[in-house]
Amino acid sequence: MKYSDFEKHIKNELEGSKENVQMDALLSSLNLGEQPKRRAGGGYWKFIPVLFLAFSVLAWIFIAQPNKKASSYVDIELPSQYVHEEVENNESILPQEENLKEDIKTKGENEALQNTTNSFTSSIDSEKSTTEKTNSNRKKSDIEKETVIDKINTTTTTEASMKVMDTSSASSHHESSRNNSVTANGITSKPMVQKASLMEKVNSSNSESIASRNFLSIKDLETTSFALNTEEVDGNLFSRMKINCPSFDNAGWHMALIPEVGLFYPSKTLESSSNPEEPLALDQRLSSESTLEGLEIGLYGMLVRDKMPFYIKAGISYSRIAERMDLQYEYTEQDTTIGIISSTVSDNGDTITHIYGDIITETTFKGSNRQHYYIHLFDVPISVGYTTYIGGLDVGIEGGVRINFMTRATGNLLTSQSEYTNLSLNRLFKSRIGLSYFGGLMIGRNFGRYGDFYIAPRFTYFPNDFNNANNAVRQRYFNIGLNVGMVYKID
Amino acid sequence: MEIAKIIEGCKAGDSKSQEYLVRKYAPVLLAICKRYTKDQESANDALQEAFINIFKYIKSYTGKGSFEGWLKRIAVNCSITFQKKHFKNYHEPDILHDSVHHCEIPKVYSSLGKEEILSLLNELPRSLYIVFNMAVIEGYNHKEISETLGISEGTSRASLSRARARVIEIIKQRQEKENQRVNHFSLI
Repeated sequence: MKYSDFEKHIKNELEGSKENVQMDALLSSLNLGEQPKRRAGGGYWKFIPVLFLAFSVLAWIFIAQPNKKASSYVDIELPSQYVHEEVENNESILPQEENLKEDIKTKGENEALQNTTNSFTSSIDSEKSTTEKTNSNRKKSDIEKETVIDKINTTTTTEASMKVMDTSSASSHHESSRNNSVTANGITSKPMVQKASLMEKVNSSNSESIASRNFLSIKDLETTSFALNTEEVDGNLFSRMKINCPSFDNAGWHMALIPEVGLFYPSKTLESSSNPEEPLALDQRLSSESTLEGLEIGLYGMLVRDKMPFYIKAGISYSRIAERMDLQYEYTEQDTTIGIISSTVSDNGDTITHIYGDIITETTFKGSNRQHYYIHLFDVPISVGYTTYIGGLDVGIEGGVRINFMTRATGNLLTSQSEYTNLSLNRLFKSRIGLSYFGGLMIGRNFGRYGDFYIAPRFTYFPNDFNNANNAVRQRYFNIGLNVGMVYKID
Repeated sequence: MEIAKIIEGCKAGDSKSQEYLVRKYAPVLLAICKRYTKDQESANDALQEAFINIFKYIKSYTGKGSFEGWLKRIAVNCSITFQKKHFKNYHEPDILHDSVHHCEIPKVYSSLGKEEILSLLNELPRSLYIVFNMAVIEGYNHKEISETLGISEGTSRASLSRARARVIEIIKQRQEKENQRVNHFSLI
C-alpha cells in the first residue's frame, strides 16, 4: 500500500466524521435569534445634538453674562464741558456738580445711578481727609491734582467705582477695560487725559458700577466728591445707599470661531478579515491601490479663559480619503462556434464531404484601468489644548476625540481580480466608524488686524475598521496631516 | 427544508433557521474542532465560537462555493485560534523532499478506523498535526494554510513534508513494535 493511498484513507475516514453534540447546551449558549450586540460607542452619534446644545449653553453662560449686566446699564451723554473744563478751585466745582445733578435729573436717571454716585463719592470722601492731611504743606494747585489721583487710587483699592466716559478716549476704552492694573506715574504728565483713562480703568474693575457709566468727567468726579461730601455733612443724603463691591465672577471667558482647512496623508492597512470568504482582490489591492492625499475642512468653536493656558475646542469637520487603483489586466476569452473544419472531395469528384466541428477562437485582452473611490467622513471633533507664548509665537499642544456620525463611500472598488464594485450602490464600508483619536501641535501668530492664524501638524488614529461585514478586506487608517486655521474672536 | 431557505432565514435572523442549521451541521463541525483542539472542552468552545461567527458573517456568504465548505472553514479558523500558541515559537524546519508519497506501508493501515487514525496523528507535534489536518483532510492549499496560520507558504510546505515523514516514522515504529510482539509470542 502506498503512502498516498493511506492519506486518501485518512481523508475518507475523517472528512465526513461526526461527533455527538450536546445540542441543548449548545443552542442555549448561542442565544439564537438575537442580533449581534452593537459595540460600545456605536450610538454616540445620537448624543451629538445634546453635546452641541450643552456646548452652546456653556458658551452663552460664560460669555453672555457680563454683556447682560452691561446691557442693563443706563448710558448718559455728557455735556462736553464736563470733559474739557479745567479744575481751578473748589468754588468753581460746586456749581458744576449741581449742573451734573440737573443733567442727570433731566435725563430721567433712576436710583441705580444715584446709588452708584453715592458709592463712588462715599469712597472718595472717606479718603479725602487723609489726602488733605498728607498734602497740607503743598501748594493748592498741586494738592488738587494729586488729590484726584489719590482719590482714584483709593477708589481702586476700595473697589468702589464709577464709570467716566471721556469722549476723546472712548476708542481706547475697550483695551483699557481689559487691564485692571493702574500706575500713577504716568498720570501727572497729562493730567486730564490720563485721569480719564485712569478712571476708566478704575471703573472697569467694578461690574456693578458700570451701570452708571458715561456720565462724569474727571472734573465732575472731583466736583461730585466735594459736593457729596458737603451734603454728607448736611444730612448724609445718600446714607441709606449701599456701596456695591465689584464681582469678578465668570470674567475672562472668551469664545472664538475657527475655520480650518487641512491636508493629510492617510497610512492605510489592508488585511484579510476573519471572515472566511476569500478576499480575492486583496493581493491586487495591496500591490496596485495607492492612497492619495486627503482633504479636511472644519469649523470649530473654542472656549478659553483669560490667563489660563488651556482651551476647549469643538466643532464639525468633513474629511475625504481618496484611493486610486491602477489595474493592469490580461486575460483570455475563448469563443467556440460550430463550423466546417475540413472538406474532402471524393476520388471521382462527384462528392464533397464537409466535416463540422467546434472552432475555438481565443482572444487575449490586455490593458490597464484606473479607478478611484472616496471615503467621506463627517465628524464632531472635541479637543482640549494647552498653549504658551514662545518667541512671539503661540505654541500649543492639543488632543481629543472625533465622533464620526456619518461615513459615505463613493467610486469604484476592486472586489475581484478584474471587477469593480460601485460603492454608491453596494455598501462595503461602514456607515459610521465610531470614535477616533487625534492630537498634535499648534503654532500660531497674530497678524494684527488680519487676526490670528495657526498651522497645526496633526495625527488621527482610527481604531476601528472601515469595512463592513460585506467586505472581506479589513481596511484601517492612520492619518498624518497639516491644518491651517484662523481664530476669529467673538468676545 | 432546503439549505437555501435556511441560509436566507439565518441572514434574516430567524431563530428556527439558525437552530436547524446548528442541528444539521454541529456534529460535523464538532468533529473538525475536535481534531484541531486538545480536548473536548476546547472543541466545544471552538464550536460555539464557530457558530457565533457563522451567524455573524452569514450575510457575506454569496453562494459561491459549497456552503458546508464555508462552514468548515470557519470551524477550522476558530479551532486554530485555540492552537495559535503552538506557532508562537515556531521555527521553519528543513525542507524535505516529498518522496514519502511513494513509500510503501503495511496494507493493514488501509483498514484503520477513525479513532486509530486520530491516535496515530495525535503523536505528531501539534504544529505539524494542524498543518497535516488542514492539507490532507480539509484540502487547503499552502496559500490558504499560510494565511490562516500566519506563516509563510514555505513553512507550510515544509511542515507538511515533515508531518508526512513523521507519520511514516510512527508507522514504522509501530510496525517494529508489532513485529517484536509477534516474535515474542512465537518464541513462547
